[in-house]
Amino acid sequence: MYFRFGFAVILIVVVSIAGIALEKRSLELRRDVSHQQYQLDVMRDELSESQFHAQQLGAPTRMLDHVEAEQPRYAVRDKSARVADERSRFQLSREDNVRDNRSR
Amino acid sequence: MSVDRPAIADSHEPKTSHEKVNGSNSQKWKQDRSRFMGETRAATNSDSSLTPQVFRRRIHLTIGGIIAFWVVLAIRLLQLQWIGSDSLAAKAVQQQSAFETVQARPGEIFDRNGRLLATSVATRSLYIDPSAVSDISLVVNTLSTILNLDVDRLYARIEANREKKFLWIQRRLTNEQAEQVRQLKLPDDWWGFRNEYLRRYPQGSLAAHLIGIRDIDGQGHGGVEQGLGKRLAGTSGKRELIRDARGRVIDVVDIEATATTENEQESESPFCDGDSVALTIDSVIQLFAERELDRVMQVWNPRHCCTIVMDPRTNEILAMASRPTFDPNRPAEVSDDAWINTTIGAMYEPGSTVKPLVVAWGLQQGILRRDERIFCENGRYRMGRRILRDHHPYGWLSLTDVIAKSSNIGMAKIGERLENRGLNQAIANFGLGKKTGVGLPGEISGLVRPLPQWDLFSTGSVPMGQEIAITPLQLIAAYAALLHEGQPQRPKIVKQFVEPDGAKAGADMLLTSNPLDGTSAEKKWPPRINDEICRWLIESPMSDVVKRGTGKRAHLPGYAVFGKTGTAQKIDSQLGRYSSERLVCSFICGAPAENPQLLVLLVVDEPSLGRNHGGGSVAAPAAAEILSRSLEHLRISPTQPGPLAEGETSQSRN
Repeated sequence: MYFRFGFAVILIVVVSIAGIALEKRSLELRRDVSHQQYQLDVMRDELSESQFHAQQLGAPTRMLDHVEAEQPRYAVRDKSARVADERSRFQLSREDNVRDNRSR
Repeated sequence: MSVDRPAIADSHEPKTSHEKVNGSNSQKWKQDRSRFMGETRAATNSDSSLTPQVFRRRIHLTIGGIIAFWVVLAIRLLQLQWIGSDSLAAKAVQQQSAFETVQARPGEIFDRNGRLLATSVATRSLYIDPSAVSDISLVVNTLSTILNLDVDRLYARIEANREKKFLWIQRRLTNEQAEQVRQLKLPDDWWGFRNEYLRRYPQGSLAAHLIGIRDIDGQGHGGVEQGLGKRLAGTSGKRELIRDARGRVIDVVDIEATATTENEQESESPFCDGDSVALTIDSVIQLFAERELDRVMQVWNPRHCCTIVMDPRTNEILAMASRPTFDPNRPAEVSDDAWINTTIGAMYEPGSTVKPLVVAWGLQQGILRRDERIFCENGRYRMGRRILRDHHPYGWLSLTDVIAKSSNIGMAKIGERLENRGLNQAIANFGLGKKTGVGLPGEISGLVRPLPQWDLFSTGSVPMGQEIAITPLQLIAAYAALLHEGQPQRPKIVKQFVEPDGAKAGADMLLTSNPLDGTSAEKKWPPRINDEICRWLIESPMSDVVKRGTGKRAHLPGYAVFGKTGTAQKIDSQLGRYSSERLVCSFICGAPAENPQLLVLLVVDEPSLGRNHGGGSVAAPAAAEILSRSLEHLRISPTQPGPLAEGETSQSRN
């Protein structure tokens, strides 16, 4: 009888301890979830700031002049202008190569 | 009890042999009992208080105590659970839960390709509770150093608001400033931060008029920021937090709406961030347009100029720009005249750009024939008391040439045939003098007088674009209508909405009805202008304007460009008549003529530098440049053969 009584008491204690542990873990997880919710807000703020800077750096206003300076406008130019452009670019690059070889 | 025992024992004296056997044991038990009782009596005799009565009383007392304890517990339980349950529950909730204000994040604005045009960045704003501050000089001295504030002024402000519980010190601090304020470690009840969103525009002044600005209080001013203000702003709310015994947040329960940031009124709609919106504009085409406007401002120094690029197939506006302009990131530096979006907020007499529309209506009504020739009176035509003149004296002109050479006399004669009623119908049919319903704030309707007020002057003036005042957007929408068989078209500025959870919604515009007729925007109209007439106008007279007419400078190799110049005189208010110095030069063009995919309108108001001001010289080259670059950007391939290059044959080209 003592054994049974003792076993019942131990069982109750163990179940209680397990319940407390589970409850504690549940609270911890809920804290983590709410923490992550705040973290998400912070990250969204950081994302929008990063996006802002990225878009500012890649804005057509900044980029287009550089792009156009390097690229001839094929679509509206006639073939002769295109050919002349190609020739001049080819000649320039060839002269550069010659110059490089000489310097070597 | 112990007294009764022997009697009971005596009544069980052994009688049988079996009992006799056990009798010796029973005897022994009796002896033991009497010995035990004797010892007990001896012991009780030594402590006189422990009589059976005392013992019994004690037991009763113990039992009574236990019962009383449980009764008290039950009463307390009853009190906690039943009598004071509401107030105690409220107290518990108060201790456990807390509320914090959550600002709705305003939605972002993108162009049609997903380029960011406007976004919101989180910032901290510093406030204090003046009534709780016990040492003002400490607050003033420390904060003014960090925030670069005037010490005396800050002190005076706090003193003046000593009774209040809330006072902004500075809004939208930088992260460094916020950190420095935190490091001061001022008492918690003196100060606090509030999260706010700062609107930023990564493309700078690009499409500034179209986007508008959002001020420090989240109110939109101008453009999409105002037009779609409520949808972009979202609904602010309060977030309920559940805390543990140590005050740590363990759960975020619910978010309930408190007010809209747009007008700070109570709202029953749930908390939500603002929707993002994708506009129809293309940043690159917008940039082309803006650069050309800058060039026009530099070369011709007009009062203002504006341009619109539109896809006539979908009525989507690809670019909309106006000069002078502003940088929405620096709203304090905006000059007064820069606020106006002249594409929708300024009206002008369109001049010759309306001529193709009047001719289209005349052809549709059957009072004109395409192969007809009109005598243009060698440049001088009396119409009532008025003498009309052409720039060059023309004799007989075909209908194509009347448009290509922009003959005022030819158009006046067409006006005489249409009469005022027919002209008025033409103007109304194309939506001139009425709001387009684009959904942008500040759009004006223009000015078209009621028909009874039209006179003989109107018969000569209206066909050449005088006596009516319209907005540039109305004119380009009218040309879009011409390309849609005369059906009224509403320009679109919104491509789609994106909800905070990423769901995409259609571009439901602010208006539900067609502004031109007050009917459903989706309603299909029967053709008002025959498709053949529209085609002929685009491919013949309007293409000839660019090939050999007044708009030759808009010629683009490889593309069949169509267009129409406009040079309108402005009224000199001092002289009370049209001025020959103050002009509005405009040019509307499109390409390719066989299948128009782009329309460009450019309007230059009062160019002051240079000579020979006219639509063909001032507006056409700039409009053509925008058109050319837009065609290139959209990869619309040339449709017409250009001049052959050296060493190239027509076969090798094919």
